[in-house]
Amino acid sequence: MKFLAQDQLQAFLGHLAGGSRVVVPVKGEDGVVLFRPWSPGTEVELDVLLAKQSAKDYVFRQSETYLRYGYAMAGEAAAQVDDSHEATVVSDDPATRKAAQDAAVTAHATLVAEPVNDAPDQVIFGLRPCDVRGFVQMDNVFGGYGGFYFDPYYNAKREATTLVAVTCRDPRSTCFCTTVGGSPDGTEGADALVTQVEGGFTVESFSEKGEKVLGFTGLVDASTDQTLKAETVKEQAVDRVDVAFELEGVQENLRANIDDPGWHDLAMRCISCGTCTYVCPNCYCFNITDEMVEGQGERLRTWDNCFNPTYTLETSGHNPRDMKSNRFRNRFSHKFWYYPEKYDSLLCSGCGRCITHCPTRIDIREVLSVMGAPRPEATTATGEEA
Amino acid sequence: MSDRQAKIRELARAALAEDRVDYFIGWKQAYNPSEMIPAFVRSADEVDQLVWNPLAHHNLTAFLKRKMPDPPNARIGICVKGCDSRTLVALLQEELVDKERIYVVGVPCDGIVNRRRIEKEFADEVVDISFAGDTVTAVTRSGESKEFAKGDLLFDHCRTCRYPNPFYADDMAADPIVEPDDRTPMWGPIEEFEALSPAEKDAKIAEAFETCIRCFACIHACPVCWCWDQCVNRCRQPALVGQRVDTKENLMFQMVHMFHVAGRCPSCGACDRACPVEIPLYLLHRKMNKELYDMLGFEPGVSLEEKPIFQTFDVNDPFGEH
Amino acid sequence: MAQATHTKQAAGTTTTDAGDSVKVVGIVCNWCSYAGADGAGTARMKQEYELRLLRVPCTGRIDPLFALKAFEKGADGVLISGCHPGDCHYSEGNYYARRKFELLDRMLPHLGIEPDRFKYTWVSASEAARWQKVVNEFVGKVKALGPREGRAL
Repeated sequence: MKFLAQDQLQAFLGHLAGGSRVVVPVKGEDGVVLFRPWSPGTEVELDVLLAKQSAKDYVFRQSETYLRYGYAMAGEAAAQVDDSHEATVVSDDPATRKAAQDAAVTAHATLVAEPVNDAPDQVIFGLRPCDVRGFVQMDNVFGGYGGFYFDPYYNAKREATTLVAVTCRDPRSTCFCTTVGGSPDGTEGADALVTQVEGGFTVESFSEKGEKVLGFTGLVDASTDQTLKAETVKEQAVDRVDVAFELEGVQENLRANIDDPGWHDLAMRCISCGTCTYVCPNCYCFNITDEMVEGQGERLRTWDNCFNPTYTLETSGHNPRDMKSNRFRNRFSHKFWYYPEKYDSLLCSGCGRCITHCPTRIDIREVLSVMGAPRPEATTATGEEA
Repeated sequence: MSDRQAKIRELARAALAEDRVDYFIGWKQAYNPSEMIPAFVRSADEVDQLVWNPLAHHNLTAFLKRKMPDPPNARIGICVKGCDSRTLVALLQEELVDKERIYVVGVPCDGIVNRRRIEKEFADEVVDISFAGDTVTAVTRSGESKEFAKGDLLFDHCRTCRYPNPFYADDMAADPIVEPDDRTPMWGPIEEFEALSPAEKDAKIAEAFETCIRCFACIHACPVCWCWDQCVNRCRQPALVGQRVDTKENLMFQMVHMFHVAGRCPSCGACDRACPVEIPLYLLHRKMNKELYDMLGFEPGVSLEEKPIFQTFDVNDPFGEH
Repeated sequence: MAQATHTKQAAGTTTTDAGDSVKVVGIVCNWCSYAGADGAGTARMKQEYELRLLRVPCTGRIDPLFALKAFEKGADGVLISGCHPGDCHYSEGNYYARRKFELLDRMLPHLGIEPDRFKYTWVSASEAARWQKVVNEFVGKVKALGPREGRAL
């Protein structure tokens, strides 16, 4: 275990920035903490536990260009056809005229597409173990787990990214990582983990990428005292996280409760926005669109979310999830029922952002305690689909 | 304050017991006493969860707009504050809510506390906020506590509020509180912004909208943005707003919202409070309302008879070339 | 083999033609201002040529967002023109529109766009000379401001 003195933090980040972009949580003028690219002198905010958004945008971009395209002219006459809008001079010579005609016949527009996949090396410093687990869980989807599709865009960025997590010193009341198999000092997926102790940080690495992080010359071996203190910080943090609900049986119960009227009650205060999914470190749904202007365009992948009323809208006009309670049910069922069925892992790392950011504070813990448990036989019919 | 809470419960209990409504919407405590959330009460024995205190910021009329009621034809009891009632009036003006299906309890309001202001005073999580007179006490999870004067914590639109009593209510939770004699609107912090140069404004707006994640919380929380699920912002044809999430498209996205609620938005601030990344949307909607007032002396949602100004006209409108 | 990109852009509909210092979008109604512009052209009245016209049936059809979209996509100025109030081909389209444009006119400076970059006015089919004057004045002002480099819009 290494030790990084507090006053060496900037130099450490500077070292990391030598070979790659460094992303850290930064507190803005308005007090909002977000992950931002670091430049010398940028203050790193580690006291506020969670940045408003997870760092997922730096690997799974909210807007990602797949490819750019446009029409190009091919064939012998391409240059002539394209060149100008000047008056064409028609030659008197029949042979020249014939050649020009032949050339014009072979000219045709072709669609030229140029793939884009920028994946600069980057280090994300200061994200929490739950945010890191978000990447691990998304890896299943994009990484070709179990023979599913391997996504070159996500993986290029994922490979070029080093994750330096920081142990949560003061987990919030809305944190429930331990309920879903994580921990405030969790190392799953992390390349390195730093823990705040008196006077600085202890640093541990768990991978080759993490070893590179340790290459900074300002790091010294941690003393026994520092190591012990780090252990204490971790233990205390684990104690502060409450077990929010019983995970056992959730998957089966969600399946059993699919038509339970309880979903309507829980969804009543949902406004069907996408906040929970966009701040979530695990939600990965996306949409692909072509943005075209004047014959040139790009194919874009953008985040989508299952609360979007058009998420399941079919071309026919039919929408199988027209009511917000249907959409509401999907998010929780996906995370704790269908995803585990497919990938043998949960799709939630317990950061609690969806709880604290929801405009009406819909509590995933409450939803799962209610709908993830056996339900009494329905007695109150609370409204069917229109 | 607790009088109002008791009265809300009493009225809700009566409405539910007499089967005048299918459910009653008020406010209740969330997972800890520092947060308030909308409460949906379906039976008379559940009304004791209803709470009224200065954290009850939600504009519940958003749950009346189309496709929100569940079932769609539900008879709904609802609590409204002064500003909330103005959005309700806007919905009633356009006959988007059936008067017969709603039972409105008006709650005179002394101003709502901006929880985010308190949150930023601590690094740790705020888990309890309590009120005693004009003193607000906030306690964090580690036990740290601070006291604030309520006046310092109010939302800007509450400080400049001219209509604390609901305009439209079937029953009132308390006697109307004294309203200011001078109803000339005040515009608060936007005046500072207005003094900036075009380049400074551009920079500030760009900075604010750079962080937008286009989650639609502002639009869905807005009671008068009622084509929420059929929004042109989601539409590919016409493509008024591109799918790419960047500063310019984000501002365009917001302007779609702003221009479509012009004349119906009373600046209740529901969008500001819903925004997860705290974009200062009031810079736009309060400016819009200021200009509408300046143009036509118009204030949205203060009269049931008045039409939203963009659905009507006057040949003598005093602007533009003639 | 020579390959060159052939797009409408290359044909100069969206990119700035050589020599254009600014791009100005004009949105005009079919019945009055477009006809007025036509008249000015037929009469060979010299006008600033940085203006590109979009024709709509009536100013009542113009959503303020059209102007915002134009600015967003890089326009340096937007001019809206229609029938004089009282002369609308559809009787009252421009009365409705006037309110929207006035609000837009007041909001644009708030978004960091200089007031001289937007104008709404009325030009009838018979006012070719007025059209010439409006265009020259407006485009002149936009030219004086130069190309826009907004980050927000």
